[in-house]
Amino acid sequence: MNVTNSSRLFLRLIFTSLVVLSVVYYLRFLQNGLGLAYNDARSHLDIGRRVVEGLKPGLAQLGSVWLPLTHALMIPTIGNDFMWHSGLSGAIQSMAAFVATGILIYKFLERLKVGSLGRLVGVAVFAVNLNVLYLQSTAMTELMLLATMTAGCYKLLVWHQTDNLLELIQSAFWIMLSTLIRYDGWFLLLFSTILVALHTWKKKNYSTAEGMTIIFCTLGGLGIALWFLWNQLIFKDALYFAFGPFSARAQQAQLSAAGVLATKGNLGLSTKIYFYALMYNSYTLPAILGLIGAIILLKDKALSLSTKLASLTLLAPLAFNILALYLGFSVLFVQGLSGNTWFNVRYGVMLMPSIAIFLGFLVHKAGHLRWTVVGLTAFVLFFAMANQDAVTIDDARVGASQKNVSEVAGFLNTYAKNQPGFILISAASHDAIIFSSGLPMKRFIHEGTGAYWEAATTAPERWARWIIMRTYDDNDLTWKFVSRTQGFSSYDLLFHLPFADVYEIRSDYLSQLQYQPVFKNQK
Amino acid sequence: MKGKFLTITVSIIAVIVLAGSVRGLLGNPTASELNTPRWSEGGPFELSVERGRFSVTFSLIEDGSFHYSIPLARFAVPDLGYKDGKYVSLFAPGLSFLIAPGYLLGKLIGSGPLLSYATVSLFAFLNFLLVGVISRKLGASLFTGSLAGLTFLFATPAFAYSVSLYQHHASTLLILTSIYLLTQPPNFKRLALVWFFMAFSFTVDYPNLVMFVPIALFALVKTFNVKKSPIKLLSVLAVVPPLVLLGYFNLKSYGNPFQLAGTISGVRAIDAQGRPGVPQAAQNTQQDLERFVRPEIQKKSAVNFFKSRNLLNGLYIHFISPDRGIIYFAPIVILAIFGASYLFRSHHPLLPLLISVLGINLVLYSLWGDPWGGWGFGSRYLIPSYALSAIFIGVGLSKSRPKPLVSALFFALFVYSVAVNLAGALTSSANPPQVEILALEKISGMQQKYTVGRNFDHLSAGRLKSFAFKAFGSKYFNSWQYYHLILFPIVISGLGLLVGHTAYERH
Repeated sequence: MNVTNSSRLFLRLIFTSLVVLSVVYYLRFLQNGLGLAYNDARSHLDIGRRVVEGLKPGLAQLGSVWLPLTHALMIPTIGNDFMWHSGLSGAIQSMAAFVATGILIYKFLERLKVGSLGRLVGVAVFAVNLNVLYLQSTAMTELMLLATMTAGCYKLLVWHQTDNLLELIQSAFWIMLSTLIRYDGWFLLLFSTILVALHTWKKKNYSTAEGMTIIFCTLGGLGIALWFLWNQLIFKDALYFAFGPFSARAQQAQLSAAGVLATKGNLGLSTKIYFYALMYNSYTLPAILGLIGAIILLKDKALSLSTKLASLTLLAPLAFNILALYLGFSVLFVQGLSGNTWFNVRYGVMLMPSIAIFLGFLVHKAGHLRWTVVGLTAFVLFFAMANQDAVTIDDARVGASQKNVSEVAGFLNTYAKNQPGFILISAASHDAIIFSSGLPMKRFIHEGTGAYWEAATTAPERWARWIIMRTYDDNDLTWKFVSRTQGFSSYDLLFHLPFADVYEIRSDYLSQLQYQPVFKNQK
Repeated sequence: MKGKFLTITVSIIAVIVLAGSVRGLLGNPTASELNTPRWSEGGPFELSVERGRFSVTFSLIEDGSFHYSIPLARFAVPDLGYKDGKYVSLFAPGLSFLIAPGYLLGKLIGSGPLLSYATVSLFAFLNFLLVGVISRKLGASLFTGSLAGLTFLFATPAFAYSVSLYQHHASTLLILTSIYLLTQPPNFKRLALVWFFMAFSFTVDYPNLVMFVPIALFALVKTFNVKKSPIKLLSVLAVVPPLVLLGYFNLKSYGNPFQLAGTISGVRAIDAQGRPGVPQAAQNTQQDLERFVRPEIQKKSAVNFFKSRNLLNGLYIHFISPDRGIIYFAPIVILAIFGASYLFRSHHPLLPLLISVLGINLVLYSLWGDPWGGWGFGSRYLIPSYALSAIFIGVGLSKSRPKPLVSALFFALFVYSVAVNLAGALTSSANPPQVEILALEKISGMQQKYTVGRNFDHLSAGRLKSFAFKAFGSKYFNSWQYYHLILFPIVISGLGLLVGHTAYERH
């Protein structure tokens, strides 16, 4: 068997192993319920569902703030109740992305002329990480982002090495997709554009560099341009995603006012917090070895300057996350450092492909110390798996990323399931309740239902049999509008529960309620 | 010839320094006397780790029992086990066995505990010699090899634990001896010894088994690489005797040959009736007090002591924390990178073994839930790593040109490190971790130090635990004079070896 065939066989074995690992862990987290523990995961699934089912289905339900690609990819499958409520409609993308990222790590290392052992170790460091395995079992967006970013970085590396324009276009394509998943992709686009410009300018001349940069930016920035256009068309404000009432900026402003956004304006603290998130997600030793590997890569005389520069794109997530914390666009809590809870600590997983690649490179360059490096890494990973160490799961179980809405959702599932009538609720505040109730989307009147929402928040006693809202909290739009209507007096408080209160219309008013969807073909 | 004379002189100085620093008191105390402040917190048995290990030796020799009498149990608290209504050891028994001959010999001359401590000092001296020998095997000169040994023994926290009753020098001795044996051509005897030491190290301290994994793998590779003589594979059977010994001890102590000491229920206090009680610190708290008075309900697992989540904090504690960090207690160790780098570039076949053992030591005890080692001096769990680092320092000094800058840097760090560690060796190893300081200050009502400053305060107050100082030295010197009396020979020895190496290189 020649080298090429054995290499292909090896790659197929890795592919198969990744697929098996992916499926096994999805099933495991489906069984223990953790696959849907993240509040955000339930929201993502609901957004996808609202496109295909509800009082006002349609692409406009993709909304703003959260970038649309992962929700759009759910559309073919989320109409099925099992695919929706098991989370598989979202998880299946994450699982595919997990496998793809593993293969890309392998291919990246192959491009760096790393031997089989280094490539295998690189893939293993990424794949045998419970944080990665958990996130790939959920409808979260991290794995999709990792896959598209790594694909973009890989193709950029190939272009740096071959000067083949097709590779550059492919790189732009993958980065464009990443810009439609999370805003990290926007930073990668900027970073990559600079590298493209520098590389071409150095190798050719200024005009060629200008042309190449325009080609790259046009395709790479297409997603961003479309996003601005989308916001303008749907929300009449191109910057609605950035400055609207549900934007991250608005959320962070509230946190800042509450005095818990300590990282804003503090570069040292932002770096420290992200450093801890990175270390906890990667189990520390792989990150340290990855850093050593990165330094060795940058100093390696056997690699061209182009290759080294292209590899720098792997560090883009590090710069982005620290910058985002510093500028107040992002929030991250590490238990013990910033209070007693976790929040968004999963952002530390963004460098896992980078760490895997650099560590694989280190194994390659370690000479007769390579088995020492492999052994120590395996030693730490063994304990990580034996301890079931995963900060992402801690955040999902007990951190601020989880919401145990079982009581409210349980009430809806028990009482509202077999009774007619709409439920008035703010999806922005209580998407987790909508998801966990198990009821079809068309039972809910929320901000995205257009005329239903306007009518129900003006005269709730005509539309809503139940109202779910946080009493006295104007951040909950339902309370904000309904509490100021006369019709609110028609409701009794049924339950005061964690996260929300349940109001039910008094029986005298049942006969005047609207039970059917009457606003057809809303635009 | 001059070189050999110098190194022999330095070795003699090392012995004298150890003799002048070892902790102890004259006398053969009874179990009740051991509980007095003279012997416990005010004396050589200041910490429960020392008391716990000595208790096994005392119980076996004096009481002929694997279970503790009530006075002995009080002495061992809070590191005391409880099994089937009996008080037992919470430690692996290997060190307790090793100090038994010293205790018996010492008993004859009226100083059982003193010679028990001196046994550990003997192990430390042997480690000093082994570091030098292995360093020379890797390319150090006679002078820098001795400097390596001197660095390990006196310029790292190994010094403080060479004069007290901890397992670290015994563990390090087994590791270094095994490594030394593996530098020789393999034969049945040498391989059997390596396996024997590996199994015995497990009886000294359970985590040693993990640190021996690279040594075991190296030995296996050597075994399989040897031509002919498949009988060499039978050398693995040498693991049996120590394991049988351990199994016998566990059977007699816990009723189960396979029960590890760390999984035994712990007793933190004993009440007036001799039953397990609630420690003072836990009284009037919200804690579940049932587990103190009924230790048998405690659930312990061996694996849960090591957690990947601890790794970041562990590395911080071992390297840069002010209460244990290498940067404060033994910054000279950082110079090991030069020797290791040289060995890497020259593809030395022993390097992977040394780095693996060092790496496993560092990572294992960073995963450990208590990287501080309780109350202690410096990072005691890294003593094997200090030995390996010193080996690299010896090589690095030999292979770097004798530039004045290199030598000056080494010497400056050497003097600082020796000064710090001598303070620890002469005074006390009972430095609290920084995390306990606030609670401690609340109890004591005064500011508490957690750095080496605490040791210098002891020194200024004349609170030395050295037997030689207490028995003789205090009549002629105050504590600071005694400190300098010990410091100067070490520093002069280091300087002499450095000068000798420079002169040797010139010729």
